[in-house]
Amino acid sequence: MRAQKIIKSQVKWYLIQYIVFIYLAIPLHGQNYYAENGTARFTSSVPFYEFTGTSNQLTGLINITENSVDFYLDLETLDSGIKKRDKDMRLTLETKKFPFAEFYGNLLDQVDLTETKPQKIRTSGNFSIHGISQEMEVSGEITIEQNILHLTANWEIRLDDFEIIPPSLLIVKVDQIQKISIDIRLEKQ
Amino acid sequence: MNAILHFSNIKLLLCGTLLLLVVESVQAQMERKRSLDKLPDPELFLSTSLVSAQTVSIVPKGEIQSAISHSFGHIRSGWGDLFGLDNNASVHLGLDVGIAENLSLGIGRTSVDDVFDMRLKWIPFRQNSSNSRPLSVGLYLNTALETLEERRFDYSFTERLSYHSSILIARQFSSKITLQISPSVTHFNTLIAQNKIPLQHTIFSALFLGRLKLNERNSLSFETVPILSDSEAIHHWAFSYEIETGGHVFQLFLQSGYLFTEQYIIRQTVDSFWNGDIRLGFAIHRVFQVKKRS
Repeated sequence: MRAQKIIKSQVKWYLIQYIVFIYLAIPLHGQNYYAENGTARFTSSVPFYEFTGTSNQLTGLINITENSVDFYLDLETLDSGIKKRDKDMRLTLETKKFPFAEFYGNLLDQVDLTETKPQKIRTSGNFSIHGISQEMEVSGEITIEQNILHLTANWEIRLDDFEIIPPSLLIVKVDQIQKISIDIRLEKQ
Repeated sequence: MNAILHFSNIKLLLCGTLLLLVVESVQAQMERKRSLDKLPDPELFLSTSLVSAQTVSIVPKGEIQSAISHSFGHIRSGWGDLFGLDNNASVHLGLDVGIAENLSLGIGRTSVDDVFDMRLKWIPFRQNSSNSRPLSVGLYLNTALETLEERRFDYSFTERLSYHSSILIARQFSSKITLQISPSVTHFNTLIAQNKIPLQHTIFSALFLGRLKLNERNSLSFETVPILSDSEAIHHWAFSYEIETGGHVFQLFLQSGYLFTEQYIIRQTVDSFWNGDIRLGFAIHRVFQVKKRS
């Protein structure tokens, strides 16, 4: 009986140790790269003309161990160079109701942290804007520079996929295709 | 007994590990934080001018605004003139540049009497969302040059000049209503007796402007100019429906005075809105980027 109690208490002790070890081990092994001053560009087209809303406040986190990527942007920081157009963009995207554009997903390709040449990578996850989330695959390029992970990526979305009604001026309408590009230098945490 | 103990431990181990993994995966997504910590300042008016009168809104630095204003003939002329649409009363072309965040310069031309105007607007105080600045206050100066050849007289350059200056004071009282008063002084260097307008070189007036915001892109607005120094003068009135989309503001208006430059509206309005001397008009304001914001 006494032997059983000893075994039971030992098992419990090992269990606690195991749980503590796992809890500590995960963050220790996670290699996080983080930045909150990345550049995001949203480019729209009307016939014979293109305009871009730019923000330098893209926040991103890449965890190499978990292969996870997480990016978000406060859409009210987009600046198209014309204040009236910025206002129109905020109204179209309903930024009061849906302030963020975000992408959360996984790296499909392993990043080689020892490679200094640009590496093509693919990610798969959910891109959300205007309160609608769509699963998509986004390709980009990563360059390792000491403790910096420099990521660039471009992709396109259709506005109607996200229930965004593009503004129109009489018969001139903003194109359904919206080009998105990001350029961010993530620092090792 | 040992087997039961062993089995329950494995279950505990698996549940614990699963729980940790779930917790860890939830933690992996960052908390979303807003980048802007203050609300944008209220937009008192959709455009820098209503029909003829300047508002406290200003062309932002690095932007250029072109405006075309068009006024037709009297609506009461009926079907014969298609309610005034057959008669082109006046056209004003304008170009304003934001040279600093609170300062703009502009030039314009009115087709009637070939009047060129140069204007400066300075809005040092702007109503803000926190209400620490409850009013927008600014200064507006305009100099106009009448270039129409006058056969009866040989005018010098100075004699062709007229001036208008206003202090612009405006407040948005709720998210829907904005009112502005602009005490003004207008001066004409030369006057010709016509249309029974008294020969008064310097005129004191107060322009009243108002806007009712229907929604983010549509407004109703008005402007009127009571002339303080002449109780018998006919006051200009205008009512406008405004639509904003992208970098454009469209205005569709009904007006009595139709000369588009403040001093001419004040000095030469002979039509009375309330006696039915109403004209239809429209304006298009378009903003372009000339310099990237720093």
